[in-house]
Parts: sequence; C-alpha cells; structure tokens
Amino acid sequence: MKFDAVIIGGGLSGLACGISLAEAGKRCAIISSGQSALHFSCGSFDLLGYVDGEEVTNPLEAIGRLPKNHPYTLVGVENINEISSAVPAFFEKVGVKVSGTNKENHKRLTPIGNQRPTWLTIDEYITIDDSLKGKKVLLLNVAGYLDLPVKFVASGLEKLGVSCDVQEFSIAELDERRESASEMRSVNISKVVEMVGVSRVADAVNAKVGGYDIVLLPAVFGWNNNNTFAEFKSKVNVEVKLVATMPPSVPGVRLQTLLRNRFQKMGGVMLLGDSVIGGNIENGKMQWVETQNLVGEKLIADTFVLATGNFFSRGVLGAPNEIYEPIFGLDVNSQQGRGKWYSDRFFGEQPFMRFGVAVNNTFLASKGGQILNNLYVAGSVLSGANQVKEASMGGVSLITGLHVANLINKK
Amino acid sequence: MKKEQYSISEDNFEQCLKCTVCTVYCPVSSVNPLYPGPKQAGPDGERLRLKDKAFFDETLKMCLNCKRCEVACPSGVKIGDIIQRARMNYGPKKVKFRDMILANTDFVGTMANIVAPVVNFTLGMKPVKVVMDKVMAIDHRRSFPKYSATKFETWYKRNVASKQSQYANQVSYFHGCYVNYNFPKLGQDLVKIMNALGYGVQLLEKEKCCGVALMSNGLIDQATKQAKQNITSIRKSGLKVLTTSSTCTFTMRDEYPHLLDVDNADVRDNISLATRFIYQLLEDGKVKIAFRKDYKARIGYQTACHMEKMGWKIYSILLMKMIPGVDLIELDSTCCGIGGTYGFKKENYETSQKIGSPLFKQIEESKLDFVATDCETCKWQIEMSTSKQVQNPISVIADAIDVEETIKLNKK
Amino acid sequence: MGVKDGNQFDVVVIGGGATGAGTARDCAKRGLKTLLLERFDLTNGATGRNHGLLHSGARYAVTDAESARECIEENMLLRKIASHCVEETDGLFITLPDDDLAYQAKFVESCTAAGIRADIIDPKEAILLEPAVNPSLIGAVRVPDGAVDPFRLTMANVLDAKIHGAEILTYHEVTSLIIENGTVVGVEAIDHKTKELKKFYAYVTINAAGIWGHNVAERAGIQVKMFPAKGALLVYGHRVNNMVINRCRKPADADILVPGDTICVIGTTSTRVPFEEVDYMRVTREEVDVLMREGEMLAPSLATTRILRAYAGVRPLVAADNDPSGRSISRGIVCLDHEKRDGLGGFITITGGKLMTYRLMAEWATDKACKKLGNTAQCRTAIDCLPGSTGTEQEYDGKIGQKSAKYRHGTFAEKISDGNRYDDSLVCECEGVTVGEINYAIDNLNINKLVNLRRRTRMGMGTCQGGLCACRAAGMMVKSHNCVDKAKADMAYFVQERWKGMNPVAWGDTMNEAQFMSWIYEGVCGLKEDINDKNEDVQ
Repeated sequence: MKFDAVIIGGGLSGLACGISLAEAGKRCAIISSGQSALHFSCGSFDLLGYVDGEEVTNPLEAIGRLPKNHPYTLVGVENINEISSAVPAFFEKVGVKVSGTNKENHKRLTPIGNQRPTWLTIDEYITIDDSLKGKKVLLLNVAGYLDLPVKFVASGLEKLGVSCDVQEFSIAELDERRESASEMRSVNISKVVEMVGVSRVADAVNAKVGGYDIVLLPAVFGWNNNNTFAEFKSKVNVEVKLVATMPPSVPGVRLQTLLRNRFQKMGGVMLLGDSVIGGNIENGKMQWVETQNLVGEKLIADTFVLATGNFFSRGVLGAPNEIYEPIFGLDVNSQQGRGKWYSDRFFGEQPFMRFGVAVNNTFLASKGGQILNNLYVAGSVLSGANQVKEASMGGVSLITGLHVANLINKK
Repeated sequence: MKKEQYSISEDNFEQCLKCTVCTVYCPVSSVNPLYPGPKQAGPDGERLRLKDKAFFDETLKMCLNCKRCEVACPSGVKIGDIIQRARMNYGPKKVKFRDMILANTDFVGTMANIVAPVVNFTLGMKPVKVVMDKVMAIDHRRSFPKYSATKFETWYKRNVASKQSQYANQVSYFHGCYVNYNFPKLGQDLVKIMNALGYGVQLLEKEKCCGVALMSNGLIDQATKQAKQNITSIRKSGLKVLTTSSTCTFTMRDEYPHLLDVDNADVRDNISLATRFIYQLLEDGKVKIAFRKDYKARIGYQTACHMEKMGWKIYSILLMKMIPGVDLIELDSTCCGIGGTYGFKKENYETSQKIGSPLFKQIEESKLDFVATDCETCKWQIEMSTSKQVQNPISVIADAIDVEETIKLNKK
Repeated sequence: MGVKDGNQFDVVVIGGGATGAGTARDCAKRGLKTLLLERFDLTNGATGRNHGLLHSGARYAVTDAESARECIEENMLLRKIASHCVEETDGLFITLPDDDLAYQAKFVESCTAAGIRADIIDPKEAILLEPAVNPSLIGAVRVPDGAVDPFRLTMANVLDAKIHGAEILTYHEVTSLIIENGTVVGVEAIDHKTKELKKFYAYVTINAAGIWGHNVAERAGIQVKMFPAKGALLVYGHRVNNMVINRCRKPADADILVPGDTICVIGTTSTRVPFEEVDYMRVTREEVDVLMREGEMLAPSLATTRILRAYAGVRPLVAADNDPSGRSISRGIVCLDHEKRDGLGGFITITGGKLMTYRLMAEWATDKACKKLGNTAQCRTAIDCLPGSTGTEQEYDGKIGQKSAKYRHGTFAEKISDGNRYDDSLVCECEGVTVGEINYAIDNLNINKLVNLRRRTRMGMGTCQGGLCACRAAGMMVKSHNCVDKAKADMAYFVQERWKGMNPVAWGDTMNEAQFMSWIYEGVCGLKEDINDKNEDVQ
C-alpha cells in the first residue's frame, strides 16, 4: 500500500500531524498500537508552566530559557507562536471548544483541588479565576464514584475564598452500575447518562442545586460526543462546571474520538490496534514499514512520522542498563547507567522523563549517527522535555506534531 | 543480557500498567454491571488466580471474546486471551446441553440440512421457541438463521468442482459452517469472482468447523481436535486458503496458537480473508477487475470485532470503494452484541441487545441501502435488530462485478 | 484506660515489630497492664522487611542446630495459632549441576537430627510438584517450609494484646529512659503526630526494638553490641512458584524464593552496614544484579517476570558479651536481664533471633518480666490461637474483595462491613481491597498514614504500586487525619515510599509504570510533596 505519509502513533501528536497533512491533501495512514495517553487528559493543554521550577506567566516569553535540546527550542519561538495561535481554531474544526491564550497561562483545578498553570482548557471545565469569588458552589458527586476525592476539591476551592458544599446524587440506573465493585468508572457513568438521557440526570441534579450559584460535577458527560454536555447544561437550573477526574478521562476519550473522526473524514486511514514491527531503510531513507496485523504488506510512503509516545506508550523502553527505541533502533538521548536515570525523590527532577529519540533541528531521526531523511519525530517520544515538571503536557505533542506537518507540507 | 527479555514481561498480563483504557471499550461492562470488566477479569484477576484458583469468577463467561480490550490496550496486553484461557483452565468442565447444541455448529448443521424446511419452519414456530426458551435457555426473542436445503459442499461438487482445474492459478477455500449450511450463496459468490479473476477454487480435503463456538462454550478437547485437523488439511493443500468469515479466519490464525496451543506458524500466513487476497492481487497488478456501470449502493460498513482485532477491515473497505457506484460509510466501530453464540443464550439476550443498540440506531439513521460486514453473526444480529439487510463484502463484489469484462481484462 | 487516667503500667514494651507485639500479647494475656510504644508504624523494621518465610529450620540445620530446632517447633506452632497468616506450601531444597550433591546427604542428616522432616525426592517429581523450579536440578529435598505474612502476624498479636487490655501507641518514639535509684521506672517518648513529649511509667521496661534496641539501651547507658546486617530482597509481580525454593548448599546470597500472597520474593544478600545507615537503607544496583542472577537459577522464569520493587531490612545480630569484636556472632535469641548484667533494674532487652522465633522470644522476655513482678501466670501464647485464626474460616462465595479480605484477616474478615454497594467497591483493584476493608482498618488497626493502611491491607502493594488506589484511599484518610492538607501530604508521601522500592528496579514495565504514576499524580493532579514534612518511617 502506498501513502504520502505514514504516521506511527495515534495519540495527540500523531493525530494532529495526520490531520494537518490530510487537510493539505496528503494521503495518510496512522498506525496506532492501542489507545493513547489522551485517555488521562485533565481537560487542559499546557504550553509551558514552569522553567527550572519557577512558575511562568507568559509561556512564549519563557521558551527562550529552555535548554538547547528541548523540542520547543528546536521548533523556535516564532514557529511556536504561529502554531499555538492556530491551535484553538484547529480544535474548533475537530469539534472541541477551548479557552486560553499562549500569551498568559491560566490555572486549572486538579482532581485533588490543587492548581496548575495551563494554556488551553476545554470550555466545560472549571478554571480558577475571579468570577468564582463570592460564589456559592455545590460540588455534586455521583454516589459511589471513587475517582474524585471530593473533600480535596472542596478544600482547594475554599482556600480561594469560594464557599463549597459537598453532596452526592444518583438515579436508579447509575446506582445499578455500582453492582460491579470496580466498574463505577467515569466513562461507564457517561455511558449510563447516554442511555437514560440527560433529562433524568438533570432532574436529579436540579433537586440539589437550590441556593447555589454554580454546580460542580465530575467530568462524566459525553464520552463520544459534544452534544451530551451542552444538552445537560441547558437543562440544569444553575451554571454547570466540570472538574477533572482520575483516569479514564471522559473528555480525553471524546477528544481522541473526535480527532480520529476528523482524520478519517479528511481521508486518512486509521489502523488501530496494530503495531509497526520494522521497516526498510535504504539510501538514508525509510522506504516502507510493515505491521504485525498486515503481515507481508509493505506500507510505502514518501514520509514517515514517528509519534509513538514516551515510556508509557512504549515509544521508548528501558532495559536494565539501556534505553532504546524498540521499532527501528533509532538513536536516543539518555544517560549511561541506570544509576543516573532517577532521582530518589519521586517528585524531584527525574532525568528519565527527558529521555527519548534524538533528532536534528528539522526533527529528523537518525540511526547509528546517520540521519534518516524522511523519518520525522513528533510528540512525547522526542527527548528533551519533562512535560510533567514543565507543565507542557499536550503542548509538546501539539506543537511538534503540527510543526512536523508544516515541515513535511513545505517540502 | 538481552534487553527485550528484561523490558518485556513474558507473562503478558504483567505488562498491564492499570491505566484503565480497556474498561472504556468493553461492550459488556458498559451495559452489564454484573461483569467485572476486562481489567479485573483479565490481568488483575489472573494475578489473583495464580495465588488461588478460587478467585476464578463465574461471571467471566459474560465476556464476549470481542477482543476490543486488546485493540485498545496501549501496553499490548492480550486481555481477551487471558480471560478465555482462565475460563478454560479454571471454569466448570461440565458443559450444558444447550451450549453443546449451540457449539456444534457443523453437526447440528448437517442434521438440519437434511430436514431444512422442517427445521426452518419449526424454529420459527412459537411453541418451539417457547420450548427452546424454557428448556434450553435459548432466548425466544432470537430469530434463528435459516438452514439451506443444499449444502455448499454439495452444490460445489455437483456444479463447479470439475471445472476448477482449468484455471492457471489455484486457491483453496475454507467455507465455514455458515456458508455450508445456512448461506451457500456467499461461497458461490466467491467462486464466481475468483473464476472471473482466473483462479480455480478448491475445497480442503477435510474441513471441520473452526471451533470458535466450541471454545466459547468450553468444549476445549473437541475444539483442539478440530483445530489440528484443519491445520493439517491446510498444510496439505499447499495453497493459499481463502475465507469469507472474519471469525473463522481469526480463530484459525490466532486463537489456535494462543488459546488451544495448536501450532500453525508454518501455515498461518496462508490463511487469508478473500477480500485481503483479492485486494493484494489487484494492488500488485496481478489481476484486473471490472465493475458494472449500473451498480449503485449506499453501504454502511460494520467492523466486526474480530475484524477490528485482525486489522483487516482496510482490505474489505478499500475493495468495496473500488466499485464506482458505491458510497461507503464506515459505521462507528462497535460490537453488535451477538458475540457468536453469546447472544443466543437467554441469560445474555438483554446484554446483547443493549450492546448493539447504538449501532442499530446509527444504521437506521444513516439512510443506507444495506449494511456490509465480514461476519455472519453480525449479519444475523443486525438483520434481526434493524430494518436493513446485511451482505458480506464478497457478495457486494459479486453483485457489482462485470464478469465478462473481468475475464477479458485478465486474458490480455 | 491509658494515658488519660494514669500512665503507670506494669510493663512498657518498646518496639512494634513481631517480637514487641508478641511480647505485648504475652504480657497482656498474663494479666499485666501493658503498653507498647512504637516509634513509627508497626512492622516498620526488620519484621516487615524479610522474606516472609515460614522457616522449617532446614536452612540452619547444618550450621546451627539449636536455631533449627527452635524454628521447626515454632513453625509447627504457628500453623495452628496463626493459621490465617500462614500458607502451608512446603519447600524444596534443590541441588543444581554446579552444586555439590554430597552436601544433600549431610543436609538431610542434620535436618533429621534437628527434628525436621526432610524427604529426598526425584528431581522429576520436584518439577511436577513445582513447575517453576529450575528443570536442570540434579537433586531435591522436600521440607516443611511455608510462607508467613509478617504484617498479619504482627497485627494479630497486637489485636490480641488489645483484646487483653494492652494499650498500643504507634508514632511514639522513646527519647530517654527514666531511671530512679538504679532502676528504670519508665520512659519518655515523643508523639510524632503532636510533637508532644510524654512520660510513661512502668515497673518493667522491655527493649524489643530490634536493631534500634542498640540505641534504646544506650539511652540507659548500657552497651548491647549489635551488628547491623543488611539483607536486600526483590518482589516479583506475581506468584511464579507455589512452594518455597531453596538452594541446597551452605547459606549464601539470594538462595531462597518464597511465594507469598499475590507475589514472590527472592532474597537475601547479607552486608554489614554501619549504624548510622540503618534508617537509610537503599538497595544498590549490585545487589539487584546478584538477586536477579541467583533468582533465575532457582526459577528460570524470573528472568522474564516483572520486578515490582526492591527493599532491604536490617537484621539485629548480637555479639556475645565475651566477644566484643563480634567475631562469633550468634543468630540465636538473646534475652538480657540488665539487672544481672549491668546492675540496672527494671530493664530487659530481647533481641537477636528471627521472625520465626518471635513468639519464643516474647515468652522468654515475658517470663523474665513476670518473675520480676511476681506474676506466676502461665504462658498461653503457644496454645491460644491468634485473632483471625480462631474457629473455622467463613467461606465467601462473594466478590474478589471479600475473598481477599479472608486471606488478610482470617475470621476477623467477618467484622468488615460488606454486602452493600458502597462497602463492596474496590479501592485497590490489584489486591482486591474494598471500601469496607479500608474503613475497618482505619477504625481498628492502628492507622495513622496510608503506608500503615498498606501494611494492614495490601492496598498499593500490587502491580501498579498505588497508581489509582492511593488517591482513592487518601480521600478516605481525611477522616483519620482530620485535615485535608495532611491527607494530601500523606498521599505524596505514600507515592514517594512506593517509588523508593521501584527506583532500583525501574526498567521495562516498572519504568513505564513510574512514568504513568508521575503523569497522574504530579501532572494531572498537581500533587506536590511537602519537603518540610519529615517522613520518618522510611527515609
């Protein structure tokens, strides 16, 4: 099979890249071994929240302070400005409305009531701003749902001077779900909401919200579509906001679905649950790759993009004394010797979080020191970023995914 | 020190990072809270069962074996296999009479063929359904696939067998129980296409039911025996073996080695869904195909679970898209709820229909002429639960192909 | 009772390991008004950092006949009195091609002499009995080894002590001994939770603080010469073996593989460490490498099994009084009456020994205390079953959580609230810990922190090492901390404590897991550690 571009990895960076290429008329395939880390999304996308442990207000300004080998440095601040300014519109086309700007971070409320600086937040989520001051908030959990520590969230709000009461609600169908000891999870709750319809749920919520300005609910609405929350919101008597939960993330799952739909609508071919097992490199170029499922089928393309994610997604792996890229054996940036991979403090700066595939300044990978002229790398598989410490989760994936697409489109 | 050895656990369930992604895509736990879900039933449960087999939970039989958890898992855990293996290793060894009947698709098929009109008539009769429901626990709301009066094998021998050797190229065909007993037309369609493309179609010396229903109903010894017979026959044929059922294909390629420990490594790649085989012939320029100009259809493609797992829907879709008059819509990839014999069981009927309901809704709303799918049990479920008819992509091709023109093209 | 209405006790026991708990139990059962002080959490020391091997004594048979005899006797007793803490797995002593098969005869002979049943079996039979064993073995002996859960065992002793009126105070560290007229009359302790200094008076003070007993004795101006011996172990992700597998040779590094609950443990190394380090044990890469290499010799499939974590404990080895150089170190029980030894009244030290002999050690110490107090009650700890091991266990046909709880709490699992949707939901999915069990533990099992909860319930001890359950349980711990910020800090501390064990073995899946944890806790949740919070349990 022949494509213009074959993208290995179907997470945020792979899909962003694929959509951008497909929109430019390229025939693309995405091969994704399983679902992506979007399934743990907090509902926000961070561009850059901290540099050297210090909080950042203007992410674009702070990019210059990042190390030389950081993916953002390689993209360049002008490109980042351009790409990041276009991301809200990109999401809008996909079907997700986000708020925020690349000039100034805002704060999101985490599942444990803490705050983190972020760039864009999906509109239905609560963010920390002055509009909350003096408001009476009701934090209304679904009875039996364990993946939101409500007391933590309420305490976090109270510290901001917001009065917050905690209650729970249920309806018979939701209660029935609790028959399973383990499956009262966010997405399963959202599926029940789909089945019974939002009116019943809204009625149950309305019975509790009297006297409050805002009702805050766990993010359990609309695992595969945007309409559910909008419809629900219109039926609730007070303002409704959502708070992120522990995994799985309902909005993350929805975003994954919407991105995939957009990609397929643009003519992209999605091979889900399949893994690239190797490829053929000739003349400094990747000629074709083959996958586990399509044995014997050569996927030929002009350009390839590696967007396989970091350790969690197995884009890079660690053996006891070696970090390696498992598909092609590409060059990686890491430290020699396990002793240098970790900090003793879990919450310290963990060197391994920055390990990943090495690229040149045009995001091309190399093997044995030889640049591969048509194998681009994007997203968390890149070395150099610590997305947790920097608060750049989502940002690195989007910026590098779209940047690589630009590089390919310009070629 | 081999790096893979230390970075990839052999006990596959230990690759599970407890990320919960699988739970998002389980069709059963979405609708049935009695099922513990793929994470708990699979990798979590396996660890506990290794501690004490008393942790085996009867509710594991609620697993449809759709493998959608495996497709979703970012860590490559074979969750579905773990659950099926646990059912085999720890589950009850005694099999219900009802399950025995449902599982033995070829034996029952043979018997039914002989008296097809009677069987079809009686299976439709209310009193019979009541008896099946009450005595056998086969749900009375379920409509049964009709049995054909003439087996595919009989038709083949009587009508086309002798002509096959005239073709320069040869393939084998594993027709499966459904084609043989219920719907010979699909087999006839394949022969029509292959012959037009210049390929003769042979049958295997001995074909047994692939055994998928035996496995899901706990008849492991019998399934293993049949698996070995099939693999021996496939090996003997020495030809590419084409199939028209995604489930038979998946079972013979992957479930045999994974669940039954039947080694098929030397012939696995010879077993191919016909759509994949034909697509690859066309892509490699080995054959050409011509379609009727007047063929027009708006088709919704339903990705059967095992098709999703095999990753081969791309072939069926691309092949159908080659037909000029086809407007193909890919339906959301989701389980239809039937799960082979699963949905026939009274205890699963509600679950089965609930699982399928979003799909049924989408089918009704999509203004389709008909639905296409590579799985016969999806076909039963969708035809029973919606107003649309369902066709195998091979039948779609057979309807659209211009045989005369195709033969001409391939003679050049 | 207790501090409020009088802080005069008959006996103060210092140390919340198996020995301290067993001593408190014994004292309380003999009618003594007893207080147990533990500086951090129960089982925090060597008790919670060993194999969990129910020694048959076979390992010591050749070198130390006395210890071997003590082991087999206590082994048989524990099967009865602590049935819910024990798994009767039996063990194999295997001879590999590199080992001297002649050692086997000597081994069997010594076992028999010590009263340990040791049956030579055909290597083929050994493979049938234990399919995980190295198939190249050339000899095998079957012995009555087993697995014992030290957390459960200690807690059961504490529960029994409480039932008999003892008071248990964890997170109370003894800072000095109160000495009047050449007699220890009590102790001063700091309450780590409130930072308050408290005084407790007792006629007899028993030092059962393991390796830390060295410091306790020093506070009374007494030298008990101990030699800290570090032992490192690895936890594998699931039960590879169902019988204990030992190497049939002179005791060496990493020659025992013990199945326990959902996992198996390989160990140990043995390294002398300086005293200053006993609170800061870290497993080195070299130790990990030795453990892996030797482990694979016992069960080859360990090579492809995920390693969850590494940990190390410190054995309290004691030098004989007449050998201050420490050349002839005993592994036997040492029970010192300091009145006789040092002229300091009211003070007893019980140390040395092994987890297996904790009950015997407690008996010896209690005998001495009783003698001082003129108490003539008989010791019943060898006869009476521990709480949870009494009566026949209730059969649970129910869910995973209920079945798991039965293992952990024996008949006391009945006390766990269940049968309703809230109590039955799982907090820890890997180990099957329900909301009901967490609440039972918080209310009854001396819980101050999440790490305590882990030791009582196995919450967070499974494959993901607390990936999801730490957050769920932290939410429930708010009622225990009575403060949200403390509960959050506790969650961060718990994650840090899990990381300590994962760090030395973090490659492959464990590395991927660490990244997932980091994303969730620090990334999604924005959890931070309180660097000012001195997390004293585990440094």
